[in-house]
Amino acid sequence: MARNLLTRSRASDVAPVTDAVALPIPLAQAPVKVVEAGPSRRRRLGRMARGKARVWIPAVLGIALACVAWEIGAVLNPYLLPRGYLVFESLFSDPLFYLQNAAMTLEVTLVGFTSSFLIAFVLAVIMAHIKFVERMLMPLVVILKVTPGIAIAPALVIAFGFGTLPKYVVTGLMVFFQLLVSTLIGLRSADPQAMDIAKTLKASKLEILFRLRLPYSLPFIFSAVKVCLPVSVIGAVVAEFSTAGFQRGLGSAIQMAATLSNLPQVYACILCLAVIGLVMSWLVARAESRLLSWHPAGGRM
Amino acid sequence: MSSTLTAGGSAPARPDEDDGIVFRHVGKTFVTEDGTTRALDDVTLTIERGQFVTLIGPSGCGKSTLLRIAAGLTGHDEGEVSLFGQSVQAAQASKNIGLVPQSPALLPWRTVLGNVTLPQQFNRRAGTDRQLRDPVELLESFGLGEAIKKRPAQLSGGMQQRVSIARAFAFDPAVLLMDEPFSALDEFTREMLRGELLQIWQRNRKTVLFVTHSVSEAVALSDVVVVMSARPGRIRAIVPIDLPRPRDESVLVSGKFHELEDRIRFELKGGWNRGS
Repeated sequence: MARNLLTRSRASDVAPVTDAVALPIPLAQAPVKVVEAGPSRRRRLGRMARGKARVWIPAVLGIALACVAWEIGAVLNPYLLPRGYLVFESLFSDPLFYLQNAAMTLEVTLVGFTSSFLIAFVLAVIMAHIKFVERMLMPLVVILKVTPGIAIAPALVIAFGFGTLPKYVVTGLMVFFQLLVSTLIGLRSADPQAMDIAKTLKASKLEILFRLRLPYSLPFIFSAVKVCLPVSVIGAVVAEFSTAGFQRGLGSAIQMAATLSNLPQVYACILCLAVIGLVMSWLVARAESRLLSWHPAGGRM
Repeated sequence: MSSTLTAGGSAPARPDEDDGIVFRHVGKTFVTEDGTTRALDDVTLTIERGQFVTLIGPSGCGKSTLLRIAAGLTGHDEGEVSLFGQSVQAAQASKNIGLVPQSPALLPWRTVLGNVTLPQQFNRRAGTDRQLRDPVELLESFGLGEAIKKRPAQLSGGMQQRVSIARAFAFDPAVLLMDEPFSALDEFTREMLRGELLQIWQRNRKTVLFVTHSVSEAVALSDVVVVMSARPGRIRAIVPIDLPRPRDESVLVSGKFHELEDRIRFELKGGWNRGS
């Protein structure tokens, strides 16, 4: 063992020492990770395109098959499913109607989600630092979690009227628990040995929060946001169901159209909701791959 | 060299005893669900400024606990600990403790340079009087010049641990506490980093408290090896390593080196009970 050590250290002893503290390690000796030289850029891009095609072709095929199945179902059961072209006809005959309702639903979703996120975040930071607060609030949060937010909607409408406030509250409640718990776990997930180093330097709580806890919590927060954004759309739609006719919103529009048996309009609204969900998921994935390029799971949908 | 260390109950008063890491009758008991564990019992040890002292012993002998007490990460129940006359708290506040943990504990979102400059961003008011070396130059001297802008995930385990050691040197603390820093590495990388640490320390003699499981590592690096025994964690023997420095090839294959290794192995196997 010792012999080994010697042969190695001798090679570096030969190197000239200029600085008093300098350590001359010949780089060839250092275990530099060998970066694959790789093929030319063009060939690499070609390979990437082929790789992407391998992902896209089955996806497009799946969607196409689903559309065919839909059309067959619609032809066989004209009173249960509208034909696809009827849905798009409804959509393009009155685009403003759909845009306005979608905007309303989007507003409820985003306001409800964002306020829920901010409250959950602040509470998680406090709970991560003060055990007493965590023990005090956790039972309440668990009760909130097991109570279906949907069931509260009608009661909130009675309490807050037919305005937008109860919708924000229902939307927010649907995602609150997940956001709070994920953020809390994330804040606690900081590498304990890195935390040790911070402690031996008497780092302040705020320094530890911003330099260690928050970055370490980001992957947890992102995965919660990815799950919760679509859930908050559900919250918004359900809240709109219970105020149908009084306010705009896709949920309200679906309820109205269903009562009038206007199937194309029902499905056009559903299509709008699907698009909202897709766009939001895509935006979050983009933000994640930007912010979490360091994280092994970062950037993957 | 050996006379500067004392084991057991008596700590002779020395004029310069505040000029180092001093443990006086330190005791520590952990209370768990299964009962209590005496992790450290009456540990008295003085490490002089500029000495490289290694703690070695079986699992559960409290060597890591002793290091964590010196780092202020674990409290002690009995006795006193001081670092260059300061309390552990004061040493933390003045950024005099450089910790090299078992894993590199690098922040994955920061580059190598960002990781090495991290300690400067904690507790900013302290240590501003120090004349710090340019971090880029420091990294180059650690053989990390090529890696400055890389993320930790792009580096091998050995390179990551090298960054971790550079991070501890970067803010120029008086004391370096190293908790089995090479234990997660393969044998080959381990011996290379051991040789590098010898050279770094040769040129920048900090006071080091080093914890290890490896006898040859302890002998190769140290001025003094402290052999500990488990349950309760006590100092069993203090072995001065009077090998010349720098420790080049001729020293590390010498008969004396192997004699010292054998002596420490003997103490580890229970030489304590010889006479009793």
